[in-house]
Amino acid sequence: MSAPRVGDRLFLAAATGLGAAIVAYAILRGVERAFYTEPHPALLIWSDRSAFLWRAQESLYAGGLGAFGGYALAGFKTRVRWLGALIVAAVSALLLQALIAP
Amino acid sequence: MSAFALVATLISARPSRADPPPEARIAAQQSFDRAERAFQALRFAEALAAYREAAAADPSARFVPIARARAADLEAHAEGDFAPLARLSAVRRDPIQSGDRAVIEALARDVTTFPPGRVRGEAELVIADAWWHRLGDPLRAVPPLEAAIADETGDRLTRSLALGELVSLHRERGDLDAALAAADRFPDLAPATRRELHTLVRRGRLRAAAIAVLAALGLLGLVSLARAAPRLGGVAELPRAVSPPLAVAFSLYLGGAAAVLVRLRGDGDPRPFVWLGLGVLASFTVARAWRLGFGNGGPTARAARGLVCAIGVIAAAFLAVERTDPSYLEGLGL
Repeated sequence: MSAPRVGDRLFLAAATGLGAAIVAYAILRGVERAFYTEPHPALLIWSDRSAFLWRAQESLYAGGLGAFGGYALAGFKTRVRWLGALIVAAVSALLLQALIAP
Repeated sequence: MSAFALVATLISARPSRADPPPEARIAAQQSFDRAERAFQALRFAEALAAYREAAAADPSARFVPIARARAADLEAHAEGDFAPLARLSAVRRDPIQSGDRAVIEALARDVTTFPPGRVRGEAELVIADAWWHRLGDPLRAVPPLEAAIADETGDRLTRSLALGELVSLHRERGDLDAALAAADRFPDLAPATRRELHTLVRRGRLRAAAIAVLAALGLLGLVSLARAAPRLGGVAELPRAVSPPLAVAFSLYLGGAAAVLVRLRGDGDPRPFVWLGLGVLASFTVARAWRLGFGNGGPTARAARGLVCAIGVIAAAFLAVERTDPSYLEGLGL
C-alpha cells in the first residue's frame, strides 16, 4: 500500500475535523443540558453570549484538533477504517442530541 | 360629651412611658457623662456602675444603647477587678507606647500574671501586632499569637483573629507548612482558612512534582538529542527532525486558537492556553528526540514513551494554569 497523497490527506483531515466537531457539539450540548441550566430563550431579548454560538465555536475548535489528528492518521500506510467509525459515531451523537437534548 | 372631654384631658395629662420626668433625664445624662470620663481615665469599675445607672435612670434616652453596649463589654473584661484591662488599655490607646520595645516587653511579662479571661488573649494580640508591624520582628510575634489561640478562656473571635494573623505571618515568611500546622491544630477556629491552606499545600506539591517531571523530560531530551545528532548528520539537522511542521502547527493551533476563543469571551486569561501549546510542542519534541536517540523499540517501549510524554503534557498543563491563573484550578477541585 502506497503512502497517501497530500490532497487525499487534506481531504481525510477535513472529514475527520467535521466528524469531530459534530461529536464535540453533541457532547457539549449534553453536558450543558445535564449540568448547566440556561434561561429560556423567550425570556431574553438579546444576549451577546449566546450559548449556541459558544457551543458552535468550541465545537469548531475541537474539530480543528480532530483535523490535525486525521491528517496524521492519514499518513500511515493503512486502510482508513477509523473514518467510517467516526462518521457512524457523529451521526449517532447528532441523533441522540437532537432527541434527548435539542 | 363633657365626660369624654374630662377623660381625654386626664389621659393627655399623664406622663407617657417615652417621656420620663425631666429630673430623670438629667440624672441619666449626668451618669452617662460620668461614665465616659471614668472610661477615658481607665477607671473601669466606676464607668461600669455609671453606665448601668444611666440606663436605669432613663431607658428611653438616645445614649442608652451605647451605655448598655459599653457596660456589657466592660462586664466581659472585668477579670482581676479591671486591673488587666487598665494595664492593656494604657498601652493600646497610646500609639507611642504600643510601638516602644521596652513597654511591649514589660506588657508581655505582665500578661503571664493576668487571670483567665478575654483581656489576656487581647493583650497577646496587641503584643504580637507590635512585634510584627511596629517593631519589625515577626518571629517574636509567633509565641504571643500561639498563646492567644491556645487560651480557651479567651473570646472565640479573638482566637480566630489570632489564628488568621499567625497563618498570615507564616505565609508572609514563605512557610506554608507552618501555616497549615497552625490551622490544623485548631480546625474549628478558621475552617475556611484551613481549607484554603490545604489547597495551597496540595498545589505546591503538584507544582514540585510537575517541575520534577519536566526537568527529567528536559534532561532526557538533551541526552537524546546528543545521541541523535551524529546519526542525523549533525546538529543542523536536529530542528527539522524533532519538530516537524505538523507538530508545530498542531501546537500553535492548540494554544493559539484556544487563546483567541478565550479572548473573544472577554472574561478569561488566555496565557494558560499559550503555555499549554508550547508545553505540548516541547513534549512532542522530547518524544521525537527520544525515538531518534534511542531507537523506536518494541510496542512496550513505544507505549512507555507515549505515557511518559503524556505525563509531561499534563505537568505542562498544570504549570501553565497554576503559574498564570490558578482560578481555573478551583473548577477542577485542585
